[in-house]
Amino acid sequence: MAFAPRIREELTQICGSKWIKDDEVTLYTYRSDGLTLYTKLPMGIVYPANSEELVRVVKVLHREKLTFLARGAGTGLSGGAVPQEDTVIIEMDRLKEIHDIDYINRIITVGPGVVNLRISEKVRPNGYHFVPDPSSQKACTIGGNVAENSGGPHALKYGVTVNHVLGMEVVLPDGELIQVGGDFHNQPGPDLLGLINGSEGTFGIVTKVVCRLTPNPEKAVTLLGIFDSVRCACDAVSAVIRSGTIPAALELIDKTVIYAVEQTLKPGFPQDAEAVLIVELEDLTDGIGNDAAKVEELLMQNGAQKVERAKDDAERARIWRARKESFGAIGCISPSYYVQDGVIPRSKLPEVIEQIEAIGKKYNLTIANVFHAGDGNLHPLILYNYKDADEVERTHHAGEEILKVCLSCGGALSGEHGIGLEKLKLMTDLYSENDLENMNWVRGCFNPESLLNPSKAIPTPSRCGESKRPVHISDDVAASKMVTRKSGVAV
Amino acid sequence: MTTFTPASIEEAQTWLQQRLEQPKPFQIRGNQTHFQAKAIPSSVESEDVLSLSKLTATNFFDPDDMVVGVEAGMNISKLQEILAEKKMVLPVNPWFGNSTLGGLLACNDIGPNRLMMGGLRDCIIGIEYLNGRAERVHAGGKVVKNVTGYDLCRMMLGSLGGLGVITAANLKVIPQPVEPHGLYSRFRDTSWLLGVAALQEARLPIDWIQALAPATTGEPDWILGIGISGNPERQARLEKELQSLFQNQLKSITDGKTNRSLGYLPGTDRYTGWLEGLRKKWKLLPNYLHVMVLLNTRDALQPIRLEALQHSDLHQVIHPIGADLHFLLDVEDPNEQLDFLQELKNRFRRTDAKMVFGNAHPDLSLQDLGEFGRSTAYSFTQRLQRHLDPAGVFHAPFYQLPQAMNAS
Repeated sequence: MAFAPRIREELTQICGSKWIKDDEVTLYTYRSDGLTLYTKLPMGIVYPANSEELVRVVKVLHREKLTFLARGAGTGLSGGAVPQEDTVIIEMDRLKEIHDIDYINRIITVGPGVVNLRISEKVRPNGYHFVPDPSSQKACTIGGNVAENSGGPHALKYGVTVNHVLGMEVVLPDGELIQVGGDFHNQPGPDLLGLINGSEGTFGIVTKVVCRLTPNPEKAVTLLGIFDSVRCACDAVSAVIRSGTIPAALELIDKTVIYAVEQTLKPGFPQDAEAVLIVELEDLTDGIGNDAAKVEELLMQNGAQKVERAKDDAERARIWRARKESFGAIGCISPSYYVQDGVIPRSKLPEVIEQIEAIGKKYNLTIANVFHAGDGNLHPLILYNYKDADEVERTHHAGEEILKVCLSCGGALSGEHGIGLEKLKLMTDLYSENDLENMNWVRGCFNPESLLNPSKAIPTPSRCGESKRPVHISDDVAASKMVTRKSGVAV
Repeated sequence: MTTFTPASIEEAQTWLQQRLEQPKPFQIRGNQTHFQAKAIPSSVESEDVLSLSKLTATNFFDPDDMVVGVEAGMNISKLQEILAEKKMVLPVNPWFGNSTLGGLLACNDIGPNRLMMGGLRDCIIGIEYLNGRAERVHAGGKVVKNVTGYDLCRMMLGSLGGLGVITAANLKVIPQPVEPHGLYSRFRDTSWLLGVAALQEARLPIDWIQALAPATTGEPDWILGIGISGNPERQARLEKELQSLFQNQLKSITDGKTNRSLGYLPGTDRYTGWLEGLRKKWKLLPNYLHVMVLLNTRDALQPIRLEALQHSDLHQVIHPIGADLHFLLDVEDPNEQLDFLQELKNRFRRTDAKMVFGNAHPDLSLQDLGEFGRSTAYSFTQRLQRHLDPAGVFHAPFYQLPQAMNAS
């Protein structure tokens, strides 16, 4: 798999030879995103420097009827950036310019390759931040955030990416460049900005994003509720929400994850607790103490053994580091994990968490939980050994069953990771054939030939005479041996 | 012209199937609180109407999950009543309480609360609509965070009847603000803009901010109002900061009833700004002109010489942060309306502002807004409409504007 010489030559003329790659080691690097259960080698990688180059590249690929997809940092967790057979990957890393910052309009315009956290770092001295804060924010890019409509712990009070983007420049699959939205909130006509957000890179490639900036809170109070039962912690979540106080974040971490983070990050969570709840309130200094006291009381009334309040910024940062890096910490107790992203009505949390535990027992798998409790957005982490084929199989079944539980109680398949390749086959459990055909119909306006990121986000419709392709789960042992041989790096 | 008012979504679907067989264009209507734009060009001979006014059911309301699902014909005041019983609110306070939810979504209406609480795009979590094949389709769901499939909820927001018939929607709601409260001050001129600029820089978490031009209230001064809420300590702090920014000129609006001269100021609905009270006070002529100018905060805070627009029959309500400026000319002469529209266009020519009709004389059309009436990516929007309505049954003038137009 490599570029045909004629195409390679043309792409080289656009981007320069350094920025066109199809060697085996590079292809191997791009075979998956953050969800390594699904892999496929791409045809090649193109690294445009700016939107002009990108438009020209897209026009070539479109003319040649090659499939292609845009990739940011590759931190996605649903296989959205996994190539199909002969797909060209357009790497967006070089489009990372910060264009304009306008504090009166509270906006910043950035390239899609800018890392999420970089935006907040840039504007923090002036008292602002960019709200969406996925756990991968040190690495994930704003282009990827737009594609997946990413969230994060603070989505509870402030919303997800779509609520914090005002405008975009987008390259359509035929190379047409369009501007969507602008630098203020409402435009006449349909909300194309909202439609493109979360379309998993299947409608167009974003080349510029106008992001909303949010004032930093004057004061943040972080509470740590310690519980000896996950159910009580879930009940406490509902009690807090019912009280009318909307915390900025409301996160639950269970015993397995507490153990993992204490082995690695040592935030000081009590290891004999069954669960901890992180509740963060943000507001003016005046009055926030009363709200915090009210929440503390609610946690205690709902079975908390103890509620601790972060004493200073350092302690607060330690708690948040443990939460945001908890997926990584799982590596110290399991060779692999499979993270789910189902979302449920938050009042169903207690019963669903119990059902997830039962699913773990049924398949003889450990399932850890760390999730956005306030939003009802679950992240069960199914721990498995990738070398054990039977365990991998059981992991898939358990994951599917968890998502079906979410659907059965009125939930959805994904709160922030997207459908990608991973959840395609479950889409028919949530939506009717009509609903999915209708989504395909809309996609047809943007991406009529399905050249851009094909077979992602929604299943290919049977009405169009195409059968649903089975998800490709590769056994890429041979490929990894090749990479080790050529690069000298053990993979 | 005939009006069909289905009693159920199934009836609406059957009716739409029949229209597709002919095919015959029609307009979708709620409570007609908005300007009904004419066809451009006027190629539609028979503008039959599909009215959703009987589709008013509440599909679900889960206060614990802070979500509600209702049919499109329910009017907004009724929905707010249902929510208020559980101390919840849809944090969108549009101009017209009688608007149906379907109309509100199709027009993507906003109100002053958008400043801190967001607009409809921040509330919508699920939708049901009849598409251009008369299929009943759903998108989104009942949960507050959801990226399962394409976001067709937001696609239908602002679709102005061109992409399908919205039949029901699910919304995220929030607890009512704690002790909402208002402050106001009078200004001889637009010097209040300086205070607003300072307020924006101070990054204070207020709930809403509105300014009323002199003729609007029948008083000689501009009136600037600011909404705040929260526990007493929070409110005291905000009030202190605001007084400092506005040289201690702000007065408290206690309950909107004690001061009769300010009877239009918010009473029990004071967390929603001033719109409801003002509309009652004005008693506007049926064909008055209402133009909403949407623009960025920086442009709204520039000295755009709003005083120069003063007209004895002109009401101006300014939401300077965000921003949207409302001009209501209480005259029915279409020529006078067009002259005023031209004046507005001249005033905002050097900005990226957009304009939307809230109301107008029937002789006016969207074409009269010129470039100001078209969104960015307008030609793509037209393409999307043709793609999703291949039979051309959804009569929606917004999508029929000429490609090349002068801003004049």
